[in-house]
Amino acid sequence: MTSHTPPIVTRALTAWTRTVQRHAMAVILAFAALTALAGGYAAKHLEIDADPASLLSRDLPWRRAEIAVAKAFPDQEKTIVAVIDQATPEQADAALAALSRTLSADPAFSKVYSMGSGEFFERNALLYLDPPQLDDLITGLETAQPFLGRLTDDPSLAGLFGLLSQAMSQTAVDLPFDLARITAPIAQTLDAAAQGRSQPLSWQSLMMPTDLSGGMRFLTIKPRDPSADRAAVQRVRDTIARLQLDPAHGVRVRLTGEIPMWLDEMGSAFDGAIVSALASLLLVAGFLYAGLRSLRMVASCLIALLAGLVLTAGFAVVGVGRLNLISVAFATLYIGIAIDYGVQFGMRYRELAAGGQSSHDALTRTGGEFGEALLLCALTTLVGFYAFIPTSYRGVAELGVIAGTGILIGLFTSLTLLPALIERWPPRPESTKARPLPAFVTWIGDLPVRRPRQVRIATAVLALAGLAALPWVRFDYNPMHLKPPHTESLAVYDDLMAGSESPLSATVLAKSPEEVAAIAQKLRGVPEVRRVLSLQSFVPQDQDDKLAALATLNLSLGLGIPENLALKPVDAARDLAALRDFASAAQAYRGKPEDQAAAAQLAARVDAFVAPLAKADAATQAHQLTLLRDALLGGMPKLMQRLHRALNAQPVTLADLPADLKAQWLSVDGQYKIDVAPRDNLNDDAHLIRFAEAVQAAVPQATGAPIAYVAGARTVMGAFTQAFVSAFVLIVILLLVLLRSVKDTLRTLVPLVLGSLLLAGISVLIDLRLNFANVIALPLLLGIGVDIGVVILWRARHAAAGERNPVMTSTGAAVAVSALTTLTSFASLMLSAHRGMASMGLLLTLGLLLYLACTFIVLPSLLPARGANSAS
Amino acid sequence: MRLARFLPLLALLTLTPARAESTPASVVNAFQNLLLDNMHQGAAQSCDTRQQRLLPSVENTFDLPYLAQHILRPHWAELNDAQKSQFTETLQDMVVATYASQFARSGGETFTTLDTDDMAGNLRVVHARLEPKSGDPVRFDYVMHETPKGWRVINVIAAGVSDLALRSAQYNRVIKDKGFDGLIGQIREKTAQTKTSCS
Repeated sequence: MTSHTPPIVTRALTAWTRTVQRHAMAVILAFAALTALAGGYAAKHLEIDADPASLLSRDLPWRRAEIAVAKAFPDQEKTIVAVIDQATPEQADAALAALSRTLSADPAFSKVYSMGSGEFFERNALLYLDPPQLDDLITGLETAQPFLGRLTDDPSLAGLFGLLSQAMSQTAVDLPFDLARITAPIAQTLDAAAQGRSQPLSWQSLMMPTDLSGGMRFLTIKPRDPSADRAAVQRVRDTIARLQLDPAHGVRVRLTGEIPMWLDEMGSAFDGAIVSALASLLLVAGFLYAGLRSLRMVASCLIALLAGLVLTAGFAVVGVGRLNLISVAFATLYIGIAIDYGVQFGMRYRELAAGGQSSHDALTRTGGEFGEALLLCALTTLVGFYAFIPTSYRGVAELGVIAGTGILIGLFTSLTLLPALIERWPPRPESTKARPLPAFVTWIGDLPVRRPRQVRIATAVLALAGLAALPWVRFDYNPMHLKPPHTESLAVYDDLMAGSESPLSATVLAKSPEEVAAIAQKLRGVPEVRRVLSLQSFVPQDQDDKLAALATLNLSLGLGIPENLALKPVDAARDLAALRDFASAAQAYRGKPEDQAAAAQLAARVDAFVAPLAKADAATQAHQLTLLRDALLGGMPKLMQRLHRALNAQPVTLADLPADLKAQWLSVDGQYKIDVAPRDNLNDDAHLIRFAEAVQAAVPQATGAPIAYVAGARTVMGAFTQAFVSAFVLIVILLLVLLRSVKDTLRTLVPLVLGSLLLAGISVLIDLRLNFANVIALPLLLGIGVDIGVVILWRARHAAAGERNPVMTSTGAAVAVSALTTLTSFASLMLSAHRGMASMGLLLTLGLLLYLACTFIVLPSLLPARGANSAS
Repeated sequence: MRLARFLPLLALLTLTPARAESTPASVVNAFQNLLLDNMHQGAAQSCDTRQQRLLPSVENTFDLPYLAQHILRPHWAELNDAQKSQFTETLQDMVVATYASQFARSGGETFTTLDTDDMAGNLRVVHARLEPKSGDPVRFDYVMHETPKGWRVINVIAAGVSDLALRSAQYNRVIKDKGFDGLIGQIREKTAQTKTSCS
């Protein structure tokens, strides 16, 4: 096979290598200075931009709509959301009030608000119920009236247990709730009180079985200083701890929202990046030694590698200015790819040196001839990276710029610094006899040359199989799936997604109430929409009917709902007597068997509580009884107050809505916000896409997270397709130009195409989906994968006499070693806690393995049978 | 003297026969006195006689149409006029029979009318107490509103139990289960039972 390489490239590279060798020390010192400069500059000026919003271009139409909403309602962007749950309604409300009050007074936070809570909603809660719900509540309260009336008449332990005794002994007395429902909570409270603990009884849960707030309370907190996110989150956590809002005190508060999520993600992304970079460096060193067998050479390669890395970091500052969540991976990628050049260079040099040439001459020849192969490799890889630059996926475009240019720097370093280092400190001459490879490796390796036709047929079959799998390749639309899985912020988010308060909803801006009504009307007709909220939603419907109902209720509950109920002071004699009477009545209770058992248990608990007090002194008696009274009846005054206020609700008009509430739905410049909640759980991609499309079909100007995700995914897919295709085309052109042979180009491409198709097939099999992070892997793999083919092909062209299989040569070994080093770098990405980076690692590892296997097995079978042709 | 000119006016005012300006307390008083009288008459009166005496008093003490409307509030709009008056009459019957039956014999009780409080919405609450010869007194609170005919009771709260709430909860449940006619039937049955056991 004649070489079609234009001699000019070889001559230029040879001349360059000679120059470098002549001035080796100067080159080394120059690099040292340059690296130190670049390193210092980068360390000082390199910024990390962890804002996920900046990963996609601001000029995309859907991004502009998003930005418009963010501008109109700045207080709803970049917030911390505290979610309070796992508490009785009273405790949750108290926790919310306490936290809200404390944080509002804290100057570190510019806005603290909650939706659906607060004085306004407490007062008008009943007006927001559906008419059937309100009727149910009214019936419930009317039924409860005798009980409540008598209890508020005598709000003491004696009063309560007197009532309960009557309930036990007279079936005519109706309790407003099943006996069974109250015995357990009272028993628990008694138990706790006997041990000196307070476990409050939740009257709200008894009276109103469905917590009107769905069991959760939300507090939205906006920090004042946008650059002090971490400090803000810590401050909120400290406040929560100080207020003792923890499960030991009956309530759970967790944090989610943009800020905590992004901090968690940034934390994991960076931890991941550092760990994987270090791991890859270590593994690379190991493989280097295995391949080069000389500590000096290993040292030279590593120095060249690190120098190139630092220079690339310096370029990153100058060329881009900052690293984003995706481009932090550049270090690992750089290490994995740039080391190839060093390894291959070094191994080619060793081969020539072992073949009898002097170290100096071997180095010159390596630089000159092998240099051109390396140049081609670098260019094809470069194309893979640069292909993303013109797309709207800025996050990856920046990685493309940094890593792509890094490759050029790496190549330059390998052809300049590395020869200088080797020239200055050549390896000691050692035995370079290659150890024989295991038999099965040789068998597989020689397969394509022994049976070229079978290999070609197998190639065609596998390629078709891969082709069939292509339509099944999936993109994961939800960037939340990339977030670190075991963080609190994501756990809360997932809980909310599965519940009725989906944090993902679409947003529409409108300019007038009429427009709001028209849009709401259209959206309510969309089946995928569960609920449409706007400022107008907060004016309750059917107020006249409801207020009339409340007036009647107010009348019928009579005086039994005092606004300010004071519990009666403990009267030991009276209270203990009532407790004892109750215990006897409960023992004597005859009713349903399960109720009887519950009553007997309760009687036992009462006895257990009363027994030690009989002999105790007055102070202890008073203390214990007060503890019990507060635990059992403590919630009553607040409940009565809320009911009293709710019963006296006044009509609500738009003007009556609190300013805080209005600010969330009406912007300063007069734009109305409409929130569109989905019917299904949008964690499922199919639902996400359907919802986004349905809403946009009805209202084209809709925006919001679901629409952004789908549009973002489509942008990224478009970018990826554009990049992949352009990379492929450019690579083909490059190969044609530099190899100057259509057949050779084809020989290089066939394994590549096969490898890609097999990768598609395997990802479908193992359900590995493309996502926002790993999509860069594919054009990149093209660039790296073609390197393998190029080097093997180069070897085939420069084959020594009698060499049949370019793979089973030292070049093949070098390619294998360098591929291994790259693989370990990529595999170390899988260690990242950031799921996006980990999936990128997986895709790259799989892809590279496939390309290596395909090239090694298929390419030799495509070569013409070795005849008398030899390289020039 | 200027004052002299006003004297005839003053005289006019003072000479105008003072209308029986009914106060809430006076209405309650009148009703309670009738109950007491019935009790003192005891066995000398038949149940029927007591009911006949109570009927006008009940009409003048309670605002029955108002009560009827509020007891059946969730379903009131679905009823036609005939049904509405039917319910009001049935209710009236029931109330009369109950008072006749409950307050039939005297055991030395006294009714004391206490103070009157104001309530939201221009209502008044008249507090009263029934003291039996022995035992704890029972508190009664009468919630009243003003009608063109004078002050009328719209809710009685006996020992903290609101009559309106009790009836409301009960009757609305019955209507849901058995319909309007079922409700009327049930109330009439109860009234009949009360009359039977009334001596």
